[in-house]
Amino acid sequence: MMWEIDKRDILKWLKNLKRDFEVIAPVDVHEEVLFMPLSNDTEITLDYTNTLESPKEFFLPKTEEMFSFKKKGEDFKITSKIDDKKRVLFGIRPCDVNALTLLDEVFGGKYRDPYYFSRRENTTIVAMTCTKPDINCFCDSMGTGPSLSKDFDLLFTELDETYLVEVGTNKGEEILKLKKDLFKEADETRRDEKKRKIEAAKKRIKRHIDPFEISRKLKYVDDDVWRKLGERCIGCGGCSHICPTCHCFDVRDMSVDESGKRLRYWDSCIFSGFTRMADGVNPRETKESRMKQRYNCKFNYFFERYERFGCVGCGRCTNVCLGNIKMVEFLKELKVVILTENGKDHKKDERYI
Amino acid sequence: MDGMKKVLTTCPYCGCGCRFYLDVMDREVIGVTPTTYSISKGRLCVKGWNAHEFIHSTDRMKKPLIKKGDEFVESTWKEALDFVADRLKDIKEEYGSDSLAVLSSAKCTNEENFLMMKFARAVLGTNNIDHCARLCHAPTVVGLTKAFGGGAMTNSIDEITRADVILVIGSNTTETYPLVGSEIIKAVENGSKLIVVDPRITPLAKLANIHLRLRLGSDVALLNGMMNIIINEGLEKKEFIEERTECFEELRKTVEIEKYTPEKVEEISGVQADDLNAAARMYAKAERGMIIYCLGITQHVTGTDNVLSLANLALLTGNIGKEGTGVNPLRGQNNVQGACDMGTLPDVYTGYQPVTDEEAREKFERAWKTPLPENVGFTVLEMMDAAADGRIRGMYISGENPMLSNPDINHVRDALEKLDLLVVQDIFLTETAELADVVLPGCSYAEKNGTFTNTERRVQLVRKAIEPIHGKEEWKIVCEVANRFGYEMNYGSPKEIMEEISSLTPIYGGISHERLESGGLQWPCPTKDHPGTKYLYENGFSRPEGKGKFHAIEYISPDEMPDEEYSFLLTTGRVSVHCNTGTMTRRSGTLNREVPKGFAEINPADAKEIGILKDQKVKVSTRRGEIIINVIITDEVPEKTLFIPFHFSEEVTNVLTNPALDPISKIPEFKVCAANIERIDDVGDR
Repeated sequence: MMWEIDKRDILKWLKNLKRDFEVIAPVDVHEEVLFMPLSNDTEITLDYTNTLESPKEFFLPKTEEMFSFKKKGEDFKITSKIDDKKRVLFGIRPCDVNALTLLDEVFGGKYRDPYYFSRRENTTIVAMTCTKPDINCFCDSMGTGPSLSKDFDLLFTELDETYLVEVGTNKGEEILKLKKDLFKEADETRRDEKKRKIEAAKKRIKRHIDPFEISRKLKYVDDDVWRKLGERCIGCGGCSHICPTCHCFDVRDMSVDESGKRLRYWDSCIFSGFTRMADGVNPRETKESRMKQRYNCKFNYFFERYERFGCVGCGRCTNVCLGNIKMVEFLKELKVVILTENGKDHKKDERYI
Repeated sequence: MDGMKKVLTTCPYCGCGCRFYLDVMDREVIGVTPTTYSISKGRLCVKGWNAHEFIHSTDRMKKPLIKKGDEFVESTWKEALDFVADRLKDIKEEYGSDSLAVLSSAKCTNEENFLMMKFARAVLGTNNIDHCARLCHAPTVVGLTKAFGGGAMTNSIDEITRADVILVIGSNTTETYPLVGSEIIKAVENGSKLIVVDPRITPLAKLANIHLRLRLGSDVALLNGMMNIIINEGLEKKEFIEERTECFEELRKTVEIEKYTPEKVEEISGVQADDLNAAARMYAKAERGMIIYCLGITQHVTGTDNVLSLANLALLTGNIGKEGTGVNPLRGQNNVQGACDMGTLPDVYTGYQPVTDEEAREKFERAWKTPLPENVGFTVLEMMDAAADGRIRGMYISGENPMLSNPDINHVRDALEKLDLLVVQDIFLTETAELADVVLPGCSYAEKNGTFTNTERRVQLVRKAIEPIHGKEEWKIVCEVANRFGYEMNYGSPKEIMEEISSLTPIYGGISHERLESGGLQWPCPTKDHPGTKYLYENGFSRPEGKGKFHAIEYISPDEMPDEEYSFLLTTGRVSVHCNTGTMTRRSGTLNREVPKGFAEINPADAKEIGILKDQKVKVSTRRGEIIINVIITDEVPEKTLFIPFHFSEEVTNVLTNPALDPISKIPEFKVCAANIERIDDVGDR
């Protein structure tokens, strides 16, 4: 069943949800939009393009205490810290929902990450169909937007007068039910209206790539291309920080007199320290080798492991790049030299992987 | 668990003045969120992305320390502040006000610097106050004031992409001012031409249309050579020179002579005449030519000469007083511009009002209700000399670390150890704090309100994200010491301090915390309704009759040049992940992991000659000292030249550097000295 809600009633509904949940929503802070927990003095906004940061940090915080330890005589007392707060994440875009499901793959599997999944399972995802793509977006090419057909608990779509609300799971149904009088049944014509909105959004997306072609090409890229890209990289790590699918972290203890806490915090493959080993030997010593890693991680390694690409086309890495590297333009201009078709290039190929 | 808070503030590292949000969870700062505000436009450098990491370091000073015997003993605030005030009073009484000296901090806010300045002058009664600007941009303040009437960046960061020719000289911009570097890259991509003048092949040099790889310290010769070409080819802007400048004839006579023909300059600088010709023409013909420079220009015995030469070049070609042009120093620290603006300098009050100007002095005496000293005080290095020979007896150092930042560290140690009283106020027990009699724990930028002024004169708010973790806000400490002298300093908040600043400082006249809530303001901002000033000198210079002044400058070689005993040139500088003496960045896990130790860069030809392999340890020595350090072999440094960053306390680069001073601005020559490099045969521990 599909529902509809008046724009002004969304805030009422979210305010009501605040009684039982921490509500994370796009908030207008100093005239820009950030995902933030709603408090009494914050105002949500429904008028936003892609937020500067994705809501990744509400599942994988920038710094997270895993546990604290205290020395008592000969023994250690260890207290773990699992965040099981009930949350509603309102307004997450399809690209970022797709990024979350990629993180599910990374943190799931044989060694399930309890910190991540506690947050994930305790958060209800209220997604928002994207009707306002940013200039650097290319989700359409990656199959991650502007519309969303699964992986949400509730899905909102802005129509001319109201918001269309689709239910994905019981978890979604439940938070809708908490204030059911705000929602009314939507008729089938709304489905066409939604379609038109999505088509209009697609038309606004100006950047397009073929990820499969790029995936193949990346294996044959000449060293010179990476060298030039490496020279442009200033090494800030912003692309990883801002990427909704980057998930690498490092672990560090903060302790005094053998008591303290173990923290994990966001890390980046852009840093040379990320792969440097104890004796100083570094398999990815140069910036060019780290560039090669980053692009191949997104377009090859992810695919090899999860049969999906590790890029959701949100364009944020282009927005933050200090070296002014534009991912889509770089990928589109990739020129590949394949010398012959015998076994020799296969060897050459391996060198790049 | 509390919900997350995001507090918009200003970065504590370099002078770019990026803004970001500090993410606060359960009263801990756990990360940084970028903002589209100000120059940042969503971007940050590696230091900015990790600017939260040192805040909760376990090394933070927790309690005031008083040295008893050779040991520090924790004390209460009352005991420590009583001790500081009593000892300062004793010294003042016995040896006079000028036996005391204060070093203020370019890391602290404008409000804190203002109070430190007021404390030195109104409470201690001395003009002996200075800060680290002396070690980075003193020649800028002096030189640009002589030429234009004001010692600051003439234009703004967002004008870089409006320039059609950019001349970057003595600045490894993408490493040291990454956001400015980023704008230069953007400009080049949009078709601006780039000239880089640097002995090293910097990342920008690789992007440049022309890279002039000059010999260290030959800047004046090179710039005179460019002007020689410009005048010979009639490319100077005659109308501009006629209407808006003075003393052109003196300049013309100096640069036109035989000494500065491109061929002669090639002999001095090593830059080929053809390249110099091309660069001179490219800059002179620009519609909007912008000069960007940094410590490669200033940290020389000819620092002021170098700055004046850049000013000459801009005046000669009319590249000043309009958008996308100008002479643009990149100021090193987050608030080194502000610390200068606040008059933590031995010769000026706030807004560069001279202490020797009777009218200015009387204004401050009236406001502060106390007589003020008339003589110009000591600079940083003069303070050290005076401490060594007993003229200075007590020093109060706030957030500075001369034990790593000054040249000739062995001399600094001798000087500081001779003092009867050394008070250090810092967030960490720095190399300097270890020598102190009393250490007062301060607060990080995340724990206080106030303002920083960035390199483009933009005053921006710093907001308190968390309550002080351990120490006290520096402005409160200063008030408490002043009150113990019987001099009332009672401010309710930094906002009130800014009100006093704007009432006494014409260029800050219209600046208040209320106005800054909605964004930064660039000084001069004289009145409450003034929008601030994007670029300076549109309608005239701040000099008599509004005219810019040419200065005839002759080339002088660096103080110490290579000889048989010390055959290499040594130059020093910075890397992107570390900030100055590393007090904060070396305590930031991610940043310190990136470059965990010092290194000396050496050209492959020299490495072969001496027989050094990658990562091997070498001994670098000068007439002042020696260090053991790992090498990096790279053709990014020229032959017979070594580059060593100065961030590391394990390899104290500044035991090597030359304390010879620029006679005008008193900046030491960090950028050139003669050195020797030797292989250490015991290479077991690489």
